[in-house]
Amino acid sequence: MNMRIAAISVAVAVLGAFNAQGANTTDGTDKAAVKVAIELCSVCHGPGGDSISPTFPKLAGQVEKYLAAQLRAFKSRERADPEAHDYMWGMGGSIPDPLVDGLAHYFASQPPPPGMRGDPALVAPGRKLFEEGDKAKNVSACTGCHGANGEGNAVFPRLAGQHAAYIVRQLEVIKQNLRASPVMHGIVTQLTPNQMKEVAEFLQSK
Amino acid sequence: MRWATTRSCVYAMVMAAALLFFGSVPDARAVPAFSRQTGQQCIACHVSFPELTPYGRYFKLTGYTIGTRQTLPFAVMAQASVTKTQNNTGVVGQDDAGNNIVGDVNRRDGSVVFSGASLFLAGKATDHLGGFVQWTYNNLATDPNTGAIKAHGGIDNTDLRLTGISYGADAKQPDWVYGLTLHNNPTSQDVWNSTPAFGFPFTASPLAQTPAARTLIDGGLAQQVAGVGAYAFWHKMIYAEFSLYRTADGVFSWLRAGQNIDTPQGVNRLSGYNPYWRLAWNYEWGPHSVMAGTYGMVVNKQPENTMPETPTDRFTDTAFDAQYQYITNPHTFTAQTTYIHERQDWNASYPNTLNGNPFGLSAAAPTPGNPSTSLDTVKIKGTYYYQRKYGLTLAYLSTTGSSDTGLYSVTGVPDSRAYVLELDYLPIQNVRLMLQYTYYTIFNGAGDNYDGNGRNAWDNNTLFFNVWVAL
Repeated sequence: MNMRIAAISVAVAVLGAFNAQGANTTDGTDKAAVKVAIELCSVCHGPGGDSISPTFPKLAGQVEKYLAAQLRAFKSRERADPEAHDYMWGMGGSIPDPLVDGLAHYFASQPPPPGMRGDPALVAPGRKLFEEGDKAKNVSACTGCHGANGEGNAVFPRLAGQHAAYIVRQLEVIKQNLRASPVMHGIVTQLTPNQMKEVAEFLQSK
Repeated sequence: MRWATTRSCVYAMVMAAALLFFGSVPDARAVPAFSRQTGQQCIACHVSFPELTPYGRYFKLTGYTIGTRQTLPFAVMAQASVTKTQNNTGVVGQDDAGNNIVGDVNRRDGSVVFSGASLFLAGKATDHLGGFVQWTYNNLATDPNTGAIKAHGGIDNTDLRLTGISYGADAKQPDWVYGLTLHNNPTSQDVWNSTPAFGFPFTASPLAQTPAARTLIDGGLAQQVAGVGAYAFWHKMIYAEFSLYRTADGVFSWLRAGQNIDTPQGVNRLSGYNPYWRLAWNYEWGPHSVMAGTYGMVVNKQPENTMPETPTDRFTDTAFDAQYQYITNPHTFTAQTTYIHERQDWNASYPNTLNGNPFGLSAAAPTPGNPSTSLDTVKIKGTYYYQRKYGLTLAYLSTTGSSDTGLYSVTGVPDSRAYVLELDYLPIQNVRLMLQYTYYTIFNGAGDNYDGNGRNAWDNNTLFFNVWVAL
């Protein structure tokens, strides 16, 4: 099928399905995005983006620009880690641009889920690494980009409250260059598997 | 044990290589029509085909409507296999003088066979209407008159749905997922893999000897009935369904297209509309999900499918089941179990047996020696997958029941017991190589000499290698 026709068909199908496109809720969130978030995204990412399965990241309270950038990276297939390929290329590919921004706004507006109790033996060194870095390895503190409390900043994602297993998985795929992140790659290659687990456990507890 | 000849082994490798070649077409997926529709890979919906993930269950309950409608919503599936029976020599019939004929129990034992292929028409029609129709060419079908292998095509599992979702103004996830389903195999509409239609064994040898006695809900009505059901799933926690089944004739005849409806005992014929129920409690936390439930049906069945106006026998199947799933990367563990109790009231067949005039035109018509009997089936299965590529499955399958020399003339009881060990390897998501070993301790009522001619249960132990490809 001609690519242009295919693209138009996809857009028409999605817009047809979400015919509330363009209408906003009282808080300014696109109604069509809310519908998609409830009827589709919530299946894996949980109600309001508070996912229960560590395979799928929590999106509630995530940084809006980061969310939009990731959705666009799924659409363009620039983000190509295995889970992106298996789950999100298809989902992202069917979402038109205006809906991307609406979804990003919706999830960013949701209250961040509270942290989960972590193993103290892991949380303590994880906190130290997050707040101070590892000078011996020339690893800078995570707070510089991800915020003093892991709340995220500008385009850098919120990490506080995220599933530890998901964080570890992302560090692994970045380390293996399965997910392109030049800045993080340099840092992650310096971390041991234990350090990854520790910082992830700390962040999950935030 | 005699293994496949060198020639067969070479052929098997060539077949496997060919299937792998065709299976490695870029962007092909294991449930291809649905996968192309959603743009997602097989593992989004399946732990391993056909076992559904929580998302796969939602996809099915919402009528296969997630994603973008495809212009050509087709998919194909094919399987090739080798079956090796521990003792392939046995009594296979009698000559005109009444003497036993000894021969190969499985005529294709040790040979590589093309098992068959399916064509799927599958996907969404509208945002609320979707389904799939499967047509299967069975290359190993058996001629009911001669017992010879005779290739044959016919409809396979089919499920069409009209669905909806509802939620309140402040909701963050659906409150209700509900729908109507039209299908042709009881429990094929279910979304947990503890029920029979998509339960274990997911793939079994098409050539191996299998126990004769099984409950009606356990495949006895597959592609023979039309089922219309209504269901609702509340907060991903409570699932309820009620369906009615009738013989797939008249306007529903396409749902059993290709079935052998003219031969006595070729299919089962039901009288009127027969109820099916399903109630399940589902809970998900972290990487875990668990389900506990009950299902069952009451069936009024004609003793002989070619004689539709006779009185009926009644089968009441009551079942309980449970499922547990732990899904992470790289470890996945799943377990299913079900218990099915079937009460068989021979309201038609027993009086006629007493009268010496059993229903039907063939000797296959039931001739019970009791007014009522029962069957009990237990299935327990556990599977571990590493990276969704390397799988190990252990299973226990058992059927027991009341004694009846009219139904089970040699041993007097229907009992069978088997243990299954299965190894799976998925080089890519839509290709599965499987090695399965089935070990019987009891077969058709006995361990030793179950057929009266010296054949033992373990003679039917089966080694089965299968290559499964979907595009």
